[in-house]
Amino acid sequence: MAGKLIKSSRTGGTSQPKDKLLCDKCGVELEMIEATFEYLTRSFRHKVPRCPECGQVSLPEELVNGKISDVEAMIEEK
Amino acid sequence: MKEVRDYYDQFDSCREHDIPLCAESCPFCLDILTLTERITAGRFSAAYKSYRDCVVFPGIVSEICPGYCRDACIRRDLDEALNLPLLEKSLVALTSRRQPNAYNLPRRGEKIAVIGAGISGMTFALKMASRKYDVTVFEREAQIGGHLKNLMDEDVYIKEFELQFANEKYTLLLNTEASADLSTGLLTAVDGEGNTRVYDDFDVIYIASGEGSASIPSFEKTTAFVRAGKTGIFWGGSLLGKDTMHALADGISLSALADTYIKTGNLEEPEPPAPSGCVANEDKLIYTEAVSSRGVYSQEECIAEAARCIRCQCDACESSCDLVRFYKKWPVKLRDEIFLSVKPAGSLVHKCPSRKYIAACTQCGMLENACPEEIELCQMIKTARHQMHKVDKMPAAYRQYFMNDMDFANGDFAKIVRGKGSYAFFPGCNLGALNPDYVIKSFKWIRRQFPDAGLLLRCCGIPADWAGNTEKHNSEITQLAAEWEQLGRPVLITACMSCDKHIHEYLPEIETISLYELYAQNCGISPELARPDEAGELFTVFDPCPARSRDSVQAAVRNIAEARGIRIEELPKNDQHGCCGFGGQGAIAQPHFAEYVTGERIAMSDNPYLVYCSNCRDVFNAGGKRAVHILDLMFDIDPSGKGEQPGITDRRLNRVILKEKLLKEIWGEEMTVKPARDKYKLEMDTEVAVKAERLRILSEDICNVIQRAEDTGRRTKNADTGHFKAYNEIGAITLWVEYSEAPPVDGQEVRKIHNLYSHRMQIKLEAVFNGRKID
Repeated sequence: MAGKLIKSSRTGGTSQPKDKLLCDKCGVELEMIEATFEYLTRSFRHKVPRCPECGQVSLPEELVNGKISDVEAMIEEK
Repeated sequence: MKEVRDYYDQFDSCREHDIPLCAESCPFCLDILTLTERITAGRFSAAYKSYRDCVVFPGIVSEICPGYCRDACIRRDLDEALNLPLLEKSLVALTSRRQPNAYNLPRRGEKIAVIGAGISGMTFALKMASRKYDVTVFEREAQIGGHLKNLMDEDVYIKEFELQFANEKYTLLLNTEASADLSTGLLTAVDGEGNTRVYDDFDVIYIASGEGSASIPSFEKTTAFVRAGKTGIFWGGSLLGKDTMHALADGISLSALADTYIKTGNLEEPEPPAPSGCVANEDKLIYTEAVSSRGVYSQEECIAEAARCIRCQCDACESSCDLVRFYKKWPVKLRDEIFLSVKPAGSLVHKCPSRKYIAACTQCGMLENACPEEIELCQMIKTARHQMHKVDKMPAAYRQYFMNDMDFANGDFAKIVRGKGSYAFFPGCNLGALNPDYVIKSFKWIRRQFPDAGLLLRCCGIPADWAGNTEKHNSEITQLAAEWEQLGRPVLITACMSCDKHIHEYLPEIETISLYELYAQNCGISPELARPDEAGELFTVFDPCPARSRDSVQAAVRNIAEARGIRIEELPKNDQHGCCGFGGQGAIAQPHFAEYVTGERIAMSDNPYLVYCSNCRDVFNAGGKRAVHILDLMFDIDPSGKGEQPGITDRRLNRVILKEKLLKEIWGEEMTVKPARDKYKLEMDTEVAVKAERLRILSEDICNVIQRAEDTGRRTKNADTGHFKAYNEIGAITLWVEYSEAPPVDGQEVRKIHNLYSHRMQIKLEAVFNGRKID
């Protein structure tokens, strides 16, 4: 089912990850790059720390327990 | 299997909106709940308005109403009925701005005649005048008010009439004797000078000429209206032998009927309201003396007296069901939302407003127990879980841990199906996980009574039922039945009342007896022998939900406890309480609700609890309440209830240890199939361990994440701390682990876990990123 798009601008996002994170595989610093998320048939994109080379994602705990958890709760109520 | 819609009609008889008995006895059906609520909140103007809207002439009613409500008040037999008449009187006295509102409505051309300017006629006249009809009142005497002059100060009611009519126009013809012809609709009026005039243009005539007037033939006294040509003729009040308050109420109700008649031409008696089924909640009744006052109440006194109202409403569901209380939704609302939620996801109605509480329900059955209409909300919720699972509207993450746990308990590392005798022990899956001794010692005792007793060590399958996974549940039940056949159809000796109830529900052919009944019976423990030790510790017995009303099990547990030298006490309502918080397994879906339920149960008694369900013991101990299992006392396992609780990984290990020990100690066999050792030895601080426990993360899951990270190199490194961070999908959840490497111990690799967290949302990586394939 085509998912509902939640604009990434609404969920905010900073230009650089807070900590200096390196991709262990590529050895480069992570940058804020969009990634796709999906939950209960709804999908949306959000800027998260990712390796610009291989796309490896690293989600900070604040994001997981904050916005991601909020969006999960919101979708579960729909 | 039943469907949600099969329960739908039950809710039609819900008494949520049944008015309290005081309001039912009131001639005006006064909304006493709103009135006392507003007074208690200090909103006197608003309270006055609701009172005036209902009684029309508050200045008169508050003076002479005898207070029918007081006879119906539940406080009458305890302290003193709520003094509503004095509250009403005080309300009128305390309200400074009593002028009625003026509404700029267009005038209507229809003509209304009222015969008699007594309280009933004046009420009818005001109600019709405020609807902007052309109203003429005929009064044979020289003043208005009729028999009110015998009841109260003339000045007061005349002023009240003037006040309430301030914005309305009507024609008053005093000293005019009028009569209406019920067959032609003609009105004949004779004025004080003997001039007779016949009117034929009234659309409605209301006859309220008072007691003893002969205007209405006796056979018409049972009805209140007749159609005469185009004229609708109504009558009421003391003409029909009614007292003053009912006469006034007639004026109100018949004016509404007359209005409908004019607008639609219909003249029908309204259906009498069904008798109220409101059941007062006597638990709310606390002796509170009535506020006494010489004159009228002050504002403070009003508030205090109104606060004595316990707001009688049928709240059996609210007071018995945690779900109704926590989510603040009453059964009819719940039903409608549940009905909507079980529709398939692709249908036009795809909303799922009840997902959370359907998943949260503890399935304690208290609501069905308490509801006077026996509405089966708990059953409906269980059915909804099955239907929602079928249409894929239940997040798998809600149930994953419990389903995996069931699979483990029913897998090769933990399950035992052994022996062939007339009895077999069915301990359930949690007892041994909590402490293998519970099962080992019990089974050894059973074998001493019945040397050929078999063992059926597995989960009864209730988690699949609670998860609404029909297919899985059916397969578990079928397997359980087959294993029971394999054991020679023995009587199952159960140690968990949930298993017992669940087996009875789905496999009624299996006979069961609780271990506790059997123990009391075989050890000759009877109430006479069970003498508590006066110096023994005092416990409160907490009966698990599935043992509610199971008198024989309950008695056995109490007798055993006393025979073991402890003193016991009952909860205020014995077994009439909800779940400990474990039932229905909603703790992952709705942790706040589960915590709320546990908190409510813990607060029921200050004593430690004596339980006979291992889940109750678990949940209470985790919530900081000491709880002892009856098996702790029977076999001296942890009689003080102070032992440590195993974590979820240790519980799995305990199940393996249990199987290994049983095979060895009972059947002298070695266990050959054992689970593989975790790849890494994990070290973590208490804080992280607590977090893992709360998130239901096994060490196996953590090892999984690390192993994948190290195999694929897909991990990030924090340049400042040197910690690695990686994730992996563990079924329906995504687990993140922050870790670092540590020197190996005993040839096993060691990882130090610094943090972990999880989410349900899936990360959908692109198949190709930056021109490279993602593995």
